[in-house]
Amino acid sequence: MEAAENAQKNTEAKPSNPELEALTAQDYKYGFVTEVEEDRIPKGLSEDIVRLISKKKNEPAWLLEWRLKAYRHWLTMKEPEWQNVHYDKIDYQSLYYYAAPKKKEDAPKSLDEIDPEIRETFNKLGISLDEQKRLSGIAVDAVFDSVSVGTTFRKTLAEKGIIFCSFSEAVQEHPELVKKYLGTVVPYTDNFFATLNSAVFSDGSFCYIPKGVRCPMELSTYFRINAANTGQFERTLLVADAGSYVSYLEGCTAPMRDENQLHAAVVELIALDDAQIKYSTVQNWYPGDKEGKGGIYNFVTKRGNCKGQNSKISWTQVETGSAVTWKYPSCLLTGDNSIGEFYSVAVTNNYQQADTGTKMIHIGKNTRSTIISKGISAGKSHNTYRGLVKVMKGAENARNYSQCDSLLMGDKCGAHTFPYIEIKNNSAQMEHEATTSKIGEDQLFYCKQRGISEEDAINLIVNGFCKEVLRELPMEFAVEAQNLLGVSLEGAVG
Amino acid sequence: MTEFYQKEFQKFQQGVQEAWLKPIQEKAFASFENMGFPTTQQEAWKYTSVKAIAEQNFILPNAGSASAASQNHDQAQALLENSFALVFINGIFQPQLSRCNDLPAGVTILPLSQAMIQDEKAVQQAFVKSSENKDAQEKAFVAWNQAFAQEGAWIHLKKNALLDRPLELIYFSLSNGHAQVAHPRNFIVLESGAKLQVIESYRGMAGENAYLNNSVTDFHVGENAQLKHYRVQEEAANAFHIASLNIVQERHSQVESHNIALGAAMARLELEARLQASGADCSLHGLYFTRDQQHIDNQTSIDHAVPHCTSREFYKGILDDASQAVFNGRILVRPDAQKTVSELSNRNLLLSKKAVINTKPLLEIFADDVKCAHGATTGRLDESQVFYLRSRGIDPQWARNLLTYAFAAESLESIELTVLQEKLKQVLLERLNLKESALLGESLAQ
Repeated sequence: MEAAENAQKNTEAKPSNPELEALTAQDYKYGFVTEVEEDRIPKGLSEDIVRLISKKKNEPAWLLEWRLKAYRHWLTMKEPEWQNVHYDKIDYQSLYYYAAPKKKEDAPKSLDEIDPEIRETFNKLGISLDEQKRLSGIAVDAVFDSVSVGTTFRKTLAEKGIIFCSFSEAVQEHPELVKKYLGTVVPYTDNFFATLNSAVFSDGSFCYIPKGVRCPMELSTYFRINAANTGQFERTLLVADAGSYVSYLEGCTAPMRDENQLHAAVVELIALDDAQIKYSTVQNWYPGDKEGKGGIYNFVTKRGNCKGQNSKISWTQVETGSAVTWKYPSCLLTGDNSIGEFYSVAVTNNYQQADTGTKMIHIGKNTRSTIISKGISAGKSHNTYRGLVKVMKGAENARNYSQCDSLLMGDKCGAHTFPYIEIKNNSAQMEHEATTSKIGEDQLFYCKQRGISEEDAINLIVNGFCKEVLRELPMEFAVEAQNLLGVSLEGAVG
Repeated sequence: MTEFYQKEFQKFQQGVQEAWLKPIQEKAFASFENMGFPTTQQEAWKYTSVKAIAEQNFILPNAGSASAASQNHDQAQALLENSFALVFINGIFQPQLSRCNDLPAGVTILPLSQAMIQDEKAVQQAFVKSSENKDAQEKAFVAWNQAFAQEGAWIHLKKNALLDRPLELIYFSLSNGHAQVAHPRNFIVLESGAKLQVIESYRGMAGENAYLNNSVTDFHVGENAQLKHYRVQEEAANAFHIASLNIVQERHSQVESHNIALGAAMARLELEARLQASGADCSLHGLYFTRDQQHIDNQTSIDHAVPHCTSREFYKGILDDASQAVFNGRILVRPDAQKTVSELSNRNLLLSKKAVINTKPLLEIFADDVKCAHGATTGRLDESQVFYLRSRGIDPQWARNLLTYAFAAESLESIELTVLQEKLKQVLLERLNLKESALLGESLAQ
């Protein structure tokens, strides 16, 4: 069983064709280098830059117009400050908003050049050598590409009529779909970071599942390697047409080698009648060092619209990386009998900060939502659950169940729960409960007296604590995620 | 608005006798002017709009209006037969209605205006202290109160002093002719080992104009002291009620607070309990019952500043018609406040389609060895329970009212003062039209 899994993982990792391979070898670097290389537009943000990005991507006029509208709106907005996280102010004029992929020669030549600590983590997570290379952005040679599994997958998808490609490709090949759905869930005026993203988004994923099609495999960015490393302003648009089903995986358990400080992505999901979308995320970006220096700011806007009747959107997330995580995958339950789900594990260690949760907006009749959130804080980190459950006037018989548990490890960390509950219809039935506690001494003692080491015991207890969420993950992800929890909490206790 | 209150303030200051008080109140008025009335843009006021207050010009009551109001002194009378009582009408002290003779040794009960004469040093200290408090600088209504504070209750229990009978603070209000505002300011101090039961009640009669009660109450509960606090808000249907209640608890002190909010067009209470020495224990119980267009907002915060404190909070709400309620319950566990045990629950019953509830239970935990939990529920009456009663021949409306009463009465059960418990149950029965059936009503109330 395990061998089969590993084999599958190995094959997944292999890029599909020379073109893909070339892109794989490339490594975006939006760093803070002063000299301007060719194909990198000057830093800073202005209307010209937005026009330039659009031109470089050969976009139609309506999209440029949309970007410009977003940019002009962004100028009128203020960076929000209400969140329970602290970070150094971002200078938006010192960022590069577009950079063509770097040349192959600049990439690390072999695994020896990679930080040994990262390699250690790779090994603990059981990631294959080839995949390690890919994740580290190492220039892989052509031999690696001999079996093009990716192409096979693409063929299967195409037979079913499923469109799964990069956002730029979609703009060129399926402009009518993009135009129809882009910005319908997260409008360009939504919030500071989503608006910024709308103006300057570089690339991302586009996925369309036609009517009545059940997507035969878990769609993962693994298969769409050419769009990996799309950089800091990623945009994902996923449309499930009537009666379809799709499970989408984003991110991976391995630590990403990434030098962008700010990530402001936007994810939009649309589920039409009877459609189901399952969106799983594992986020393990660089969290900064043990003193809290560096690390990624992960400010993502994720929202799904259960537009059709009986539709369902389910978010599952495992958040272990990033210095600052700030995101609220949400569901608009517009269609009657629609269902929204949110399962989350957020782990913070050292100086990490996470302010995450969900919003469930009940609009249609007989809508249901479930929220299960597990926060684990260790070291000097802070972990906040912030959620909103809103039942609108017309949302008859809405039902919500929320459970937010926090586990504290160490006396310097914090765990906070801020649930907002706004009910405008008396047929709504909602329950919210939250608990905060630490790992019980008696639980640890029980494990230890049976010969389980303290570290393993903590792993065991933490995994038990998160079980309700982890079991929502697709299987191969779940195994890795379990290991990941252990790695993230290393040295937190004892 | 500012100009009007500036004039009011100047007029008010001319009447202030105490030289030390003037600069404190000037400072408070300046910060009130600075902040202005809160808006729904502010997170703390997201669900409660005070536009209706900001749009009116409230004048300070004068002795004349108070004496006119005292015509209705039936309602201004003490609830219990044998209690001590301080009675205020439109914020003005009524000695003829009050009862504070034969006080046990070590107990001081005075209206604030009198305390300023008899106990000037201590009152001055209390005012200085509260002007340094961040509330007076950050909360517009507290600053407003501070600027105009002249009357209220001044209660002091010396070490081991015991008030054997309950104390009632009665604020009766009525506006006629012009919208009026009263700023009751209560200081209640229990030294170590002291014991007090206090009922703070706000009542009113609907006059032509709305009135506003903007009260601030401070409790200091010393080592091993015990406080039972009952707050009954039954303001007139067109009145506004804004209140701030601060409780500071010392080592091994015990506080039990009951907060019953039934009246006012718009009411808001900000209750903060600070457990600042270990072993302190705090229980907060609350019940709000809104109807028509009422809006009742309860903001509570329990601040665990040190290890080994315990607290629990139970708030229940019933919302009828197009009324709205807000609940915000915060549990804060500061760094190193280990071994904290705290729980909070907020349950809401929506009786009508148009009722709106916004609830937000918060946990902010900065220590690891703690047990904290909160829960919130919202729903309507269980149809199967209604069916059960109907199947036994009880008509549907009656069945509903009965179940509603049961939901509400539960939170009154823990009131030890039986006379008060009884009285509140009667109020509920009346509200739910359960009184007509005398037989059942009686057996329920017992």
